[in-house]
Amino acid sequence: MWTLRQRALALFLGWHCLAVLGSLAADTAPGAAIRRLTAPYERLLGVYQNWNMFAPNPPAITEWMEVEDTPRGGGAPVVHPGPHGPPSAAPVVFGYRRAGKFERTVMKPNEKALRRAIIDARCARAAAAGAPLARVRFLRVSRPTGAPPSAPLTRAEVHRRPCPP
Amino acid sequence: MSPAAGLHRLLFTPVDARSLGLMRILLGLLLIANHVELWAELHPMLGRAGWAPLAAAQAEPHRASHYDVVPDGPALHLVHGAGLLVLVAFTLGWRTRWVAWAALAVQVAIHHRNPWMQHGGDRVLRLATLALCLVPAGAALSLDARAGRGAPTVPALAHRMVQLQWMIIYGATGAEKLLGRTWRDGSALLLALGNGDFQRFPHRLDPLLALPAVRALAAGATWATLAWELAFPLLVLHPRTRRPALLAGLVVHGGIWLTMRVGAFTPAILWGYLAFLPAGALGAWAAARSPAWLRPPAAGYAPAPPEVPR
Repeated sequence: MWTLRQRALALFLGWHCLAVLGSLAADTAPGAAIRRLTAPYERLLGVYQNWNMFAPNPPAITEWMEVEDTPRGGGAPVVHPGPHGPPSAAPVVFGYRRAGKFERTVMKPNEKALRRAIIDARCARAAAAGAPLARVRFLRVSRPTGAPPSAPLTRAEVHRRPCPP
Repeated sequence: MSPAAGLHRLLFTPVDARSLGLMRILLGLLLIANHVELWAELHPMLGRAGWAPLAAAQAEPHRASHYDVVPDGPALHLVHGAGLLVLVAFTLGWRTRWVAWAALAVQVAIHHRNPWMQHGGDRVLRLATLALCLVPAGAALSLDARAGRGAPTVPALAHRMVQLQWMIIYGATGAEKLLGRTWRDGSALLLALGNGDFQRFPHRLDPLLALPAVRALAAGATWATLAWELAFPLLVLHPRTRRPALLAGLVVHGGIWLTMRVGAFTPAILWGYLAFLPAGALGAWAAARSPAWLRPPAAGYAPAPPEVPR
């Protein structure tokens, strides 16, 4: 016999399954309609479904980020490593650096707002430190997967933003 | 049997609480390891002067994070330390009904403060914790049970939720990979193994991966992995195919763990395999190996009744 608690739990599970379904089919019209309903729940508990690990294809490049600061009032641009920098050449038996994941996310095409916010914060900090910047650029540094460490690197601009006056 | 009765049986059949106790302890240890590992990057990833701008995090709707209001410096360490205490309490099964939700809140707060550094392993851990929030996860092998708040059985709801979720994970990732050219032409595994962002032993495997025999083997392994992922949701449904499917998973994820750095994903996904094992046998195994101080006093603790077969 169903108790009230069991009914509530079954209802919750049904709701959770609906959210899963909407999340997995987000690119379809019914999926999008479900997501309008369930997205707040997914976001609030951080339980959205996205299982594209190495899918549809593993990345074909090894990539990391560089940040180029151009000082206000002239001076040569200064290039800094991103939060992670180039991948280590030493074996990493334990440990996972989230900065690497963060860098890869920052360079994704759909993360413009994040890049703008990082640059604005960087500009504000530089101004507060008495060394104002004119412009900040994010660069993607990469080499093809499987290429030796000595292989030439490719640098491409990901984002460029002037600092507010 | 009516559909309602069938659903009731599926979700609320009593299962050995000790199997859930073992799952709680192992999940707790994973959460602790994940939480402690973040300490090394606490300020760059969660601090106000770090890389993740608070304004960008707060621009997202439906979120809440106590990390938002914590200043950099010792306070950030204190707050992170408080989160660790919650996870330890969850692992030990202290006031588990409430602490399980608090353990979920700790993870969600980190996710909301910096969603950009999160990986699939974090998501799996949150989903696993949510499943354990819905049942008395501290009914056995816990301080709760020691204090007389235990029970020999728990509803199978958490086990079912984990089983369903894991079937979805494998089915969804398999379907997504079917769309990829490299999974179809057999080169995906080589690409993944050769990627410097993930290599555990950077460039040490490169000469091996260039050998024609290894490349052919890797192509076969790519297709086998894809077929196994797509078939996983069906294979685990039948007791006869469940064990080979789980063993194949152990091999695949073990291989990934040995060669690649994918954060907590490997242990988190393997944790879910426990939900597919016979709860009675798993519970007995766990109870025989658990420390005495996590077991309830012998008197008044009845052994779990036999399970209803799935």
